[in-house]
Amino acid sequence: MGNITRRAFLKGSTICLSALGGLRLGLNVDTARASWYGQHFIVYLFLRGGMDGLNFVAPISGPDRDPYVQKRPTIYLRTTGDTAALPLSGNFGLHFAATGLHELYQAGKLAIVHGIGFPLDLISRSHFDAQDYCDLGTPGSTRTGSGWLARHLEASGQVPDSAQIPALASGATPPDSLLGRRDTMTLDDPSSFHPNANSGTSVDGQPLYKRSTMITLNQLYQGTGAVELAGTGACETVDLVDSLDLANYTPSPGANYPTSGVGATLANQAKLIANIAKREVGLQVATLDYGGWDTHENQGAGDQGTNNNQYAARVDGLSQVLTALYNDLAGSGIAERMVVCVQSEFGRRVRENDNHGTDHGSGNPMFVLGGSVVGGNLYGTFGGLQDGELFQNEDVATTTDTRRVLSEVVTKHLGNGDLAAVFPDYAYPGPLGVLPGGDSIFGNGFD
Amino acid sequence: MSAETLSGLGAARRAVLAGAISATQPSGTGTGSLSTSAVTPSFGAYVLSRLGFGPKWGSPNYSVQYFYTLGADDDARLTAFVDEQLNPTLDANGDVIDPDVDARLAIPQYQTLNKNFDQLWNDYEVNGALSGQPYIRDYPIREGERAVFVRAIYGRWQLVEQLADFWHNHFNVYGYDRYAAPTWTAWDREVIRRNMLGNFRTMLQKTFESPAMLYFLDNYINRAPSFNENYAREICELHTLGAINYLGPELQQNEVPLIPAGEDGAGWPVGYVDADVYEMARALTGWTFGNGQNGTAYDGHLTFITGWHDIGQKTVLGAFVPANTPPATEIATFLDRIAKHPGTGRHIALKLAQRFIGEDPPQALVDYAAHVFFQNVDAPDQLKQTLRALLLWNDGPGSFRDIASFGNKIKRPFEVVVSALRAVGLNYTFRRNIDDESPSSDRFMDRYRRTGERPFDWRAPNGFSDESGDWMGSTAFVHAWRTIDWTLDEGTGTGQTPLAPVLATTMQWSSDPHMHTPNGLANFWLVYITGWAPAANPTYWIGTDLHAKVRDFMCRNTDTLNMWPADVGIGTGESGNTQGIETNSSPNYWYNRLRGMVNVILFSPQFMVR
Repeated sequence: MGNITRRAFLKGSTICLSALGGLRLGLNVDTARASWYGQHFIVYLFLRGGMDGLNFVAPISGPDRDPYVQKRPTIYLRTTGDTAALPLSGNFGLHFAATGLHELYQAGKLAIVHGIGFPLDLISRSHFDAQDYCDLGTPGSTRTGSGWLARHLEASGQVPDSAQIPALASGATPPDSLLGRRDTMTLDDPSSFHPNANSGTSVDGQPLYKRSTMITLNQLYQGTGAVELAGTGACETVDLVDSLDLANYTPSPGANYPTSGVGATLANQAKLIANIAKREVGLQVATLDYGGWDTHENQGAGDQGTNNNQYAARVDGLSQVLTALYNDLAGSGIAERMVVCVQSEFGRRVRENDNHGTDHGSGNPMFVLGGSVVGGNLYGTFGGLQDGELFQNEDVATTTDTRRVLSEVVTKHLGNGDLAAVFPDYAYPGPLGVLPGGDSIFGNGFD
Repeated sequence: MSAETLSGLGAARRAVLAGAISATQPSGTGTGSLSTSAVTPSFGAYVLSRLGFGPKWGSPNYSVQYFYTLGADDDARLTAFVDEQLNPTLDANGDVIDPDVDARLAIPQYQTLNKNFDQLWNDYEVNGALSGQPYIRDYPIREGERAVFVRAIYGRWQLVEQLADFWHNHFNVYGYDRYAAPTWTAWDREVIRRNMLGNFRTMLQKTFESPAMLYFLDNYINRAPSFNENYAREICELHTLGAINYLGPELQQNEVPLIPAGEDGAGWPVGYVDADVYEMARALTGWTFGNGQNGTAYDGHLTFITGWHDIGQKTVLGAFVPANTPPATEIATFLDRIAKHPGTGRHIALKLAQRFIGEDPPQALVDYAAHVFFQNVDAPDQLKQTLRALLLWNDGPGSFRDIASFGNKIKRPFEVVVSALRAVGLNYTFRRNIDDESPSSDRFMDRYRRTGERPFDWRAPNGFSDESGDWMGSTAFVHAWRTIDWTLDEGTGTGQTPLAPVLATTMQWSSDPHMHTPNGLANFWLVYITGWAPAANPTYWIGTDLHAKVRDFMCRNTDTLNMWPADVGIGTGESGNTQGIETNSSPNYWYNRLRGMVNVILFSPQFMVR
């Protein structure tokens, strides 16, 4: 503890390979603070598998209610009983299991954007291609060598030398949205994060050869090769976990991260983000991945509670984790620093299939959560569920480009105006208004 | 868009990725090497780390020493070795025979491995109680996830083990899935391993017929008229043609260009579109397995439900089948067409090249292997011939034998741990733990699983990534290293038998304390683990950067400040030096330090790339 920590300040990426490599001695972590843009950061939470947004944010009244019920005879969200949808605005309701998110919506901290996706001629129903389009931020191309978040960090030019952890991939492997960024810390769980600390014998309070191993590893992993950089990153992560004592963290009261069920792993990963955000070590970007949404069969009847209802259980897990994460930061008075963007690679078809599930679709909602979000509103346009209103007679229409919402977060919250670098070939038509400042555009959910 | 361009696109993505993570190409290392410090090894060491899981000192059939007995020059040795590894000894069922592995797996903790499908179904599905730790129903997968370590660490047929890893990922099924878990042994042995060097169409058929796959990709409830496209989509996108041959959502079948005359597959569509997926999904309606529901027998066998089937006419990839065609004929026609399409050959060849050669293999090599694949679509040894063609191709740079490729791939966590435990001569059989027995394979797996590559523990159908960039996060490195460290420390208490004979091996080399200098110990272990050295006896690794750093670890005392002299033997009996490397007490804790020194060799860039 208390060792000098080092951070390799690595500016290289596929776009501009600048020469810097090697290690740069940073300051002792207790005095190095990255003060930039109010310590703002984005959490990009990707729901992998094609989350069924139509059952997360569903029509509970109005002209779309009847087609919704007819097209989803088993799985439609009810409006009465134990599994009644939670009213949002206008004609829409939230899945019954998302009680925490509902409270955040009513408190004005959660915004929902209808019908996000990519240009119609670039829609893909392949999980892997669609995820690539989202992560790389280049719909139509899976060959881009960098992710949109990596390009944002590169273009923003605002990663101070003193930032210890500017980019955090909270999980076992970093997602492609950070592809190309060399200083991403990939960490799943700070406990027992060391290659040689368990020999059972301690000397001067240190497990035998724990320190010596790190000294040698740091010596071995010097240089600019990809492996050396990766090894350097691993050593720094170990050092930081140790010096920041990351394994020793108590969330704010009221932040109730689930410890069992399908949300437990995600909860640990989200908690790590809050943990690191509070250390004020320069966090600007964090990523989370939550899979298991590919509900082709037995998605869960609309009158079936979270037991034996796989979709509802996942919604419940997601809602609990996001609520805990928000409350954790709010409890420390820093909820305004965070904006969480939650999306999936596509939605699912409006009509349920014969297996009481749904197949791959396109248009889908996006959730935007944070202390400064203009929440409690539905944004964008819901395309409608009458036969003629569906895309290819199957999907909820895509009416807002995903990049429009992300661009608003990048410009307003993260202070980066260089959108051409973040989303090449995208013409940003201006903000929807999920964040304050500028004109806002409410959707027909507000009618 | 021609078929060539299509497969080029897939390679191009990987080329960009490879470029993205390699900032410089210093001298002394291969083209596109991921490491600036790892030096190119001997040809034998290079081959062994690519065909299998690396050398094991003293092995009679998979060591650097053995490799150099196989011929007069490297080309002859490589050919002989590839042919040997491609032709493992088989029993009457077509299963690989390996006496050492078979003896290790013949312990009571392994009870599922010799059961056939019907026995597995009866013992672990029908009678598989959801009780105990683990559940009895899960015994096959619990044994399978440990047996794969045993095979990879001790097997002489290392190429077979690399191939098993490859094909399990190619036809990925989540091992803990409802119907995969109790039948896992049959999936591993009868579907994957028996067909890996055989015929691809046959392997595809076996995957289709298994309850593991039928359940995993939802086909067991695929029924007309609102068919479930999940399995059909993955057959096209992952198992056969691959996303590199997907032409996108706008084209209809009648808009797809055809393969020109004179090329493999002339007259067939160049690739697939969504409609092909939907037609395949319609053909797959009604194909389920006997799970005792919907009138089926409770036996796990492939079962067809007539009332669920779409009987209309269908076209997949240019193959037309009229209405009311017998369903078995119908699906056979389509699986034939897709398995034998040249695009499938290109996809499989590309993936194999990425596994064995590098992430940006030469196009000519991929084309050649794809052509061999296509020419042998009906041969019983099609996949063996394809792999042999790939491994022995010698018409340009970037071939398997081109040692300039050294360092262009990182070892994935499974490879890191297996190659490390081979190299240190592990002598322990991982197993399903019974009653808290010790040493604990459960504790091994608890550490190993945090790398993110627990065997068969990938929920998505695409399998674990084979791209180096996905395995260079700190989590993968640190947890693989931690697993190795645990293994080297296990069993080193008084009266115990170590799992890894680090001390015994050192003493076998020399029991004379005057030889146990930090320089000497580092030098010995570098040669022992890697199987080669940059200089001849007695210099070996001395003078290299790697040796100096490993040696310094051995010199560095627990206070990290004082250094034992590099040329002074440990425990020679002189004043102040009476503790030998087998001792473990204050102030030097030599035994711990020796194991720590072996650790850092295994954690080094030299060992992490291949």
